Amino acid sequence: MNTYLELFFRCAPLLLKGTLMTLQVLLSSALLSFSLGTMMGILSCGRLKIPVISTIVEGIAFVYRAIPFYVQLLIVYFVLPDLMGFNLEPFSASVISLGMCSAGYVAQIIRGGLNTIPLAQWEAAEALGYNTQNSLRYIVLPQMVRHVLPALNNELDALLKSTAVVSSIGMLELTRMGMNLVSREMEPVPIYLTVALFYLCMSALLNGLARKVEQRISYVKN
Amino acid sequence: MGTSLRNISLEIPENKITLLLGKSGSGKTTLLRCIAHLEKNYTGEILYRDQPLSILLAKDRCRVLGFVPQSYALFPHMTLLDNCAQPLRLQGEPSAQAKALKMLESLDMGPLAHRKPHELSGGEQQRGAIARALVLDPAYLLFDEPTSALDPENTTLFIDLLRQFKKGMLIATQDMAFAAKLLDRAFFMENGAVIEQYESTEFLSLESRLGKFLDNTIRKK
Repeated sequence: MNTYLELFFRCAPLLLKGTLMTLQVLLSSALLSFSLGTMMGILSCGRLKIPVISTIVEGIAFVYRAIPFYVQLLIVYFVLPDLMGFNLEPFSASVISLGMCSAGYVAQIIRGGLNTIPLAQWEAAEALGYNTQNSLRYIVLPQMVRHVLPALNNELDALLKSTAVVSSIGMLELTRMGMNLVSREMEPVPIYLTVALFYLCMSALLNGLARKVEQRISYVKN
Repeated sequence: MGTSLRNISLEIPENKITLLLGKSGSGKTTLLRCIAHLEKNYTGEILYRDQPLSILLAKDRCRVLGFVPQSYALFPHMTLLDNCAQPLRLQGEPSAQAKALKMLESLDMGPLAHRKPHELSGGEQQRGAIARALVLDPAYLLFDEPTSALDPENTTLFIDLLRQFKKGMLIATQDMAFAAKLLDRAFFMENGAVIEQYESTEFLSLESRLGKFLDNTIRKK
């Protein structure tokens, strides 16, 4: 037991450093994913479709969803810089590829959420003088958020787990730190189990936060 | 998709109650929605004081027409007060909150101002929706089947309420008992066209006309 505790305290600083990097990648890519996905979702919702533009946006969202995340990461890190003639740091490449891939799913969640808002709500807003922008801001989006929060929470969970894949391009996040520590300590079982525990804690924290937000904005207090 | 309308030409007086009568699918709601500019795909013009309503922006149109939908469509995430105050805020009204509260108080809804729609009864929600439409002081109020979700007691309260307003009102309904108590003027619709027009003095004949119509419908079923 003592041996394992010693091992844990030896590894903890690097694992925490990895966790911090994982959180940085997660938050940056979630910001990109949720803002891009929301815009794409709004543009592809039934009531706000703009000819041609909405079709293009739906096409882009489909591409983001259809290509495996790992392949998107390789394209952003290796292919894009080659085509465009610039270099991308692993952090930027990770955030861009994670954000884009997830935005495809967020767009679907938002589109679905907007389509659940009854037509009568849009029409009542219009009859009261709200223009499209104000209808979205004051009436439709606040109602939609309540419907889609569990699905967005799922997406955030999936995004957290996908951050492990960016270790393949050399990002020193939690999984890569774990792999490096296994090479150094030659103790895969306790180290990988600890890494798993760290992911579990982060996921529990995010779920707890999401549940709090959900309760806070619910119409009916339980 | 609503009923197709044909050859509609009618004038709706200010400060009077006008009814649109007819069975389901006769085009009453479609006509009401065209007037409220919720259906935009129509030919012809809807004029207010010789100006086409279609050229007005939503924020100006709501000063001419207040619309109370059949489902009331109060915004569920807002309190009743915010439901009423927000349209005023968007119009740049500095004392939106106070005006909205005054309107709610005038409809005996003051104590309910801070409740959300799911905490109100059907009749209270309807009065809330009316307050929300009235707060912008439109020239006309449009109602779509206003009594469809009301019990007889609330229907009586609603009729008393309507009589207080000095507004032009256009009400689409197939509730004859309600229509009989309110009528100033009525248009009877069938298959998307206005087939007859009545003034209040002619109501008895309208009642018998509708009575026959309803009897026939029931027998056919």
